[in-house]
Amino acid sequence: MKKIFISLVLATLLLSSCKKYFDINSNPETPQNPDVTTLLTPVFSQMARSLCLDSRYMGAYVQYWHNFNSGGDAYDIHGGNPINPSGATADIWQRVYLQIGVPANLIINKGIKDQNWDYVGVAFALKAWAVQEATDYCGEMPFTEAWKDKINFPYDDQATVYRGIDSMLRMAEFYLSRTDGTVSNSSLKRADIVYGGNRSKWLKFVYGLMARRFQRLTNKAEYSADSVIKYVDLSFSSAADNFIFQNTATRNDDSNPFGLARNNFTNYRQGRYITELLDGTIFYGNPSPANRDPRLSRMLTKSFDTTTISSSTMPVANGGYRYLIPATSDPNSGNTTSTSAAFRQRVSTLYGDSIVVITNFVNNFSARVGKYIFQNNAPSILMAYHELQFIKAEAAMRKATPDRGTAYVAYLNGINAHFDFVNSLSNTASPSISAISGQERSAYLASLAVEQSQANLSISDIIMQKYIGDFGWNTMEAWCDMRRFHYLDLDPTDNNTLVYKNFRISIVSVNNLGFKFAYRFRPTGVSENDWNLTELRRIGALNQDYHTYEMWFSQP
Amino acid sequence: MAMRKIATLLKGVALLLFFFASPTFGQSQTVSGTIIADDDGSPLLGVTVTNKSTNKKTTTNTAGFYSIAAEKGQVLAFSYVGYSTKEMTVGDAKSYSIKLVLSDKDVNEVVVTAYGIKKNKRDLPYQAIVVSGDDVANTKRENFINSLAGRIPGATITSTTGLPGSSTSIVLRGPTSIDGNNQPLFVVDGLMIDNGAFEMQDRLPAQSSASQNLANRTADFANRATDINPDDIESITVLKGPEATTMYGSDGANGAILITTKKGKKGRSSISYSSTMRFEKVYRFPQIQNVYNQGSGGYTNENLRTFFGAKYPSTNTFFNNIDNFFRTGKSQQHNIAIEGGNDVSTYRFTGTYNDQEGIIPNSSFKRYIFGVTNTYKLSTKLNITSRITYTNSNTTSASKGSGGFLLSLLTWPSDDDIRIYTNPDGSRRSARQDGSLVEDDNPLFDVNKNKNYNQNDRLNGNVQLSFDANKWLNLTAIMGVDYYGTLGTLYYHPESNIGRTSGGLIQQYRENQKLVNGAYRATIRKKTGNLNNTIIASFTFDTRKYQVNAVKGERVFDPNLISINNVDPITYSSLTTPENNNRTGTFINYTGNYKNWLTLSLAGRMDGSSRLVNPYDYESASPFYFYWSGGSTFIFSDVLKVPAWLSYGKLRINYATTGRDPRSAYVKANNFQPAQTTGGGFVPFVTQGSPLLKPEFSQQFETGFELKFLKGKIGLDVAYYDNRTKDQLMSTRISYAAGAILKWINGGVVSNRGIEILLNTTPIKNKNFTWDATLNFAKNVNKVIDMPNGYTFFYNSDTWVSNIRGTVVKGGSTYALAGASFARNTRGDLLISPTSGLPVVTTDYSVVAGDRMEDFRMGFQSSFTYKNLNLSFNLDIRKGGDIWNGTEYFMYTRGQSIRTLDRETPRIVKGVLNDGLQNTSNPTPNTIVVTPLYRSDFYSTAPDVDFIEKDINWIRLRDIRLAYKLPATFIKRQNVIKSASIFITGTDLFLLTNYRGADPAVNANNASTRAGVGGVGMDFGNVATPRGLLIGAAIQF
Repeated sequence: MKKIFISLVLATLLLSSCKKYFDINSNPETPQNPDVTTLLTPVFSQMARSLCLDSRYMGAYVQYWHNFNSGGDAYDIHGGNPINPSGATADIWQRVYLQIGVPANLIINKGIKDQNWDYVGVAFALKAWAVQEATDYCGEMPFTEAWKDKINFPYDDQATVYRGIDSMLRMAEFYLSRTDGTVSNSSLKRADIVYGGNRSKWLKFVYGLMARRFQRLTNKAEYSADSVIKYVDLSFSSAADNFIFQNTATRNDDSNPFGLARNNFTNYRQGRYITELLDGTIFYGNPSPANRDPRLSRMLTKSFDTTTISSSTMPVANGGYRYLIPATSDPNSGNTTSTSAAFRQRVSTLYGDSIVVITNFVNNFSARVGKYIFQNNAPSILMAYHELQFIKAEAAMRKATPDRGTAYVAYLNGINAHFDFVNSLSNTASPSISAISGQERSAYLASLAVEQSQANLSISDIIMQKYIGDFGWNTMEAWCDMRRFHYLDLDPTDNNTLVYKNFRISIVSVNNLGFKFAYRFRPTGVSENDWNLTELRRIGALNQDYHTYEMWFSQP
Repeated sequence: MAMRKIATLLKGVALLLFFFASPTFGQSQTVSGTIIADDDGSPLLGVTVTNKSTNKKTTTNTAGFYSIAAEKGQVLAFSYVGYSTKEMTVGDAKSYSIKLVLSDKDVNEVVVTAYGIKKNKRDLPYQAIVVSGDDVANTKRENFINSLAGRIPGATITSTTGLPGSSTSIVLRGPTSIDGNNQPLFVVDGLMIDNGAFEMQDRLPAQSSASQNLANRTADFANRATDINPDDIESITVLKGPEATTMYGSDGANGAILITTKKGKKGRSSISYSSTMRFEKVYRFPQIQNVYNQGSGGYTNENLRTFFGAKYPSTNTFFNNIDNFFRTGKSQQHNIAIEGGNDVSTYRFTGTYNDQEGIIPNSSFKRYIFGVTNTYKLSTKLNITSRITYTNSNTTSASKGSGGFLLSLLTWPSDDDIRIYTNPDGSRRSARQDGSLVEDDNPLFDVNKNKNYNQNDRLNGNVQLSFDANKWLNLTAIMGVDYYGTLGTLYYHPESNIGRTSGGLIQQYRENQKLVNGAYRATIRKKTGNLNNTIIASFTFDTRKYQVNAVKGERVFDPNLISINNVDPITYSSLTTPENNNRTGTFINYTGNYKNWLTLSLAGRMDGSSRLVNPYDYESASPFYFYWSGGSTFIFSDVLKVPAWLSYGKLRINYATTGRDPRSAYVKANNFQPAQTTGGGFVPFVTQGSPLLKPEFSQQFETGFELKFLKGKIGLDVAYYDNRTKDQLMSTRISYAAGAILKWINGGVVSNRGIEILLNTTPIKNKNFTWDATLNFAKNVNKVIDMPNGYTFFYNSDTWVSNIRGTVVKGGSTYALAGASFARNTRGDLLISPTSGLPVVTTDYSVVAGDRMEDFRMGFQSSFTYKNLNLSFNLDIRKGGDIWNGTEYFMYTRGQSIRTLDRETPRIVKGVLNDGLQNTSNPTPNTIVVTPLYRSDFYSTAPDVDFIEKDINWIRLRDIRLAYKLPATFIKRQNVIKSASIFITGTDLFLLTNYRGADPAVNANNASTRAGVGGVGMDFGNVATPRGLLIGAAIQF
């Protein structure tokens, strides 16, 4: 008995020195060192989400939409996000570091070790996309020191970040061009829900990102229109190359964040400028039925009551496409009695005609309801052919000697491709949203809304079509354009008109700061106010008017 | 009394005569034997054996063995603290085995310390509080921790709600950790057991439309120490002191609650049975106004659940919805204990059954516990004790907090009959005129249609072997298993406000925990000269495997069938959360006792914890960490000349360090989560791995004294302590630039200093009447001395309730609160909005607005016994400390509080306009007249911190008990019944407090929030502890 007892004690003592006993501190239910194939797929959804969620606020600056029940919404009047910690407006900021940056770094490190060059290239491209988005959103940001095991992070200026994007894109180009190692279509296909493992399409995406990056610098001496045109030409050759992936839409997390079920846009209703561009007011001066863009009924939404004229939400009959004027709430927003006239006059949500209150649609994934990109199962789109064509058109106009021929072709390509884009999102299951017919399209192309002569083509013509083409899905690009043109710049090719014709900013003095436009978002105080306060102070992010500091990219 | 004295005197005289009369009697010889305890048959160590004739003394060894020179006819006295002294005259035999009987008066003098080591209280260099099991069991509370309130100086005991099966948290001597677990370790018969409460956060798959709040705020789950049968508890020792924590390592850093279970008593088998019935009524309920109707700005709108409308019409019918909602809680309890044994073995079998129906409809708690304890003496050297307990508990609890039944009940329109909660077609009936279901559920709908129930099976057992290798060496091994499995379900009806968006939601989880632990100990006792040396070397290990498998489904087909099969298959999602760790402890303790009046104790411990291992690189971080303690006691009354009224005096001093590992496993390396997004895959977890994380360290100093006056009639025990915990382990927000939201870091220092006093008296004791009283007092000062890396404030996200949260700042207390508050200018004037005339509200969580730490706490227990009648009570007293009255905040901001009845009085809020001049030397005074009736936002935008009620005191009658024992004369007349009693007990009968809400002792989270102090002192949507009245009878055959 004694011997058994002593040996039991000794055995346990030995156990204590045993590595095996203690080395159990890894979670058996999740990988500790995941395979590159498992890390890549979720990044796509996070990219779509980051852009979508923060476009709610950018969308108010560019007047795509406004908050319908809050007349004092800060973003309508070019106010900024608060200095105090708040999770709002921080989706891009969070995702560039966490949900996109961390997996991209892991893929890059592990992929280089395992010679998964294709994965490495894709990861560089996605990281470059995210950093581009983040710096265009916030300006200065931790970049060169980011993702290190540190507590405090220095902020890099935007010029440095832009150089970083450039090198990441060149790394992406380098790795995507390699065919050795474990590179294969079937390997990349396992995780690639965008291009199905097609590396040449990934390269086109990389060139598209280069085109975007170079086009941001139109106000700078270093701007090169030829580079932009070169990269656009290397990039998407048709809508088939679009960076797009289908959302499964079986539940909240795998649905399109623009969709009804996610409920992110319930409080946002279409703005005046996008409505007036499509209903004919801007191009023709009035929204009579003949002047309406066929895309109006496919992209925007109308209320129950399509006739009653109201002073603010529909001053002129345009078929019921009521809209919000910045900083003016819907006067009927509080009305929830579905039978009342006021309720019927509410501005509809972006989700579809006459949808003014979201009730049954939240968590309803089965029905194909919704309009344009605002559907649960609409695909997420992060770069499209038509956007690149508009970039090319503008670049051609900006050559020392404007190349109007190239510009005009690209301009028409862009409009046509956007019609295709709208049609690809048409929803036959939901009533009355049919594809745009060829007849409607040719009528529009021949109308006043489209510049008929190559000689008269102006940058304004291009940018207004690009603004329509970017509606919703590409708000970041629209905001970058507006900032390049300082919102109210005159058209460089026609110095008598605004680039954004008839664009009116409702701006009131924000916190006694004077009348300044918004150029950036402040880094979220949630994580930064505690650890990087010194850097925030240095870059001015603790100043009330930090959000009005002009970006490096739009300065000369 | 007098008779006994005379008898003793006569005996003494006789002995003296005998001694002197036979000076040369007999021959020199040695007498030996074993001394065992009568109560559990265990050998007693250190019993003083005195030959009263020669005055020679010896003590027993670990086997209880003694050997002393004595001759026939000489008298040997056997004395041992805690036991009655026994005398024996030596006869012809050479061996005498003696049984010592526990002395009633000194029951507290032997203290069970870590790993079941019995120690003489004289030798303890720290304060150890002992609560008798009967005191706990007599209150007949299902969760025995609630019975401890008021009985332990320095213990803060907070019950989450007053509902059946609710959890209770306990903190000793103040929170030491900003973000760690602050609850003490629970130990049964020398081995730790798990006292976890199910933590739903991050363990249940979330609802797809994400409107359900899982952060331990809206549901409650029992803390698992409730699985202990209070009737099985012999005694509870509370170790708060530093040496105690050194002995238990990481888990004991917050102190330890050591439970010793009852063992079978030798002799004829006995059967004890007791049965009780308890009735409970809701007590102290917030008042609601019945003057103004639903609406806003003075206009009635019955689509709103805010009460800012016009006055109710005079013809209005009001319903007493509150009375119609609650019911009388009923519970019954049956206990049976069968025990017996002989010199070789004893047994004790116990069974208990509880059936409780709470004051909330459908809330219930049912529990069975069966236990068997055996002791067996295999040889004179080897003893085995074994215990096994099986517990089955079933809990159905109600919602709490935001969206819960209570807040809905308080804002249910008084002119609407709450009892009609469904429409004629069976669908949920709304209180709104438009019938919209976008509102908090009717509380009766909630408690009838939404469900939170779970069933727990637990098996806890251990075997203890004690082997006396020789006279000076004892080897002990304890091995135990603590296993439980919980099957739980949360169900939100498809029409409920939470389930509505998802078409109904079912979450089902299986929680399994297996804790295998063991302690091996060698005890060496050797005397060198006047020095008694004791060396205890021990090795312990614990292996914990924990896993939750949870599955969620939505879009319920048949709302009446609560089954995970009853959902749209496309909505399934599941989550598995493991938490495994292995730990060891190697411990060595030397105690030197000089002439029984001076002791010196030194201990060192090396812990190993798998939680410190970096799985990527094992060699980079050691699982081991070391700490130590040292202490000394000095019984000055034995050495120095002290006045006669001072019968005992002891000084003690102790210093110790304690290390603590992180509260979670897997924090050293990065983790990944399955992605719910299109295409699946893995996403990095929000918490980044911290490969450099090291253990948190406490330095603890304690000193104190114990005095006894008037032959022990008055006892005083005072302790002063000063604890500092540095390198705080925190899971905190970091800069996103690091690539994560949270990360574990080390840093920050928390200090707890305090004084604890325990005063026992027996003012009256005579044949018929005894009066005992115990008063305890504890004051703790908690301060965050430093925050890591200049971090300005830290909060535990679970405590973020409404716009207030537990916020830790440098220089503040761990119990601090911060939240939305009125903005002020630099001179401290309220800022008033120039457009509305109302105060400006801001949210700045770095500005502390309240501190939930009390100034001091007292407990007073007293017992009066007159013949066969006994009356005892327990008062729990608290002075100071702030409480956030969130329930009142909720009612106020919705116009249902009676504090909003002055709404027709026009007023000018005193303050200055926020017009740009507010911080100049000449701010504009506010002159804007506001009539709140027309400006609902006067109430509805009130900031949260304005509802922190300052300096809350209470006197709470925790329990009062009157018992009558059948007189001995009756018992003697028959042979069947050995004893019988009847009793009546009141629990929580009254609460005297300056708190305006219902119950200041509730928790806005639940006991599962093991990070920091949780939602203690935050009263939000929790029903108060009900009053209970209990009658019962106990009988022993």
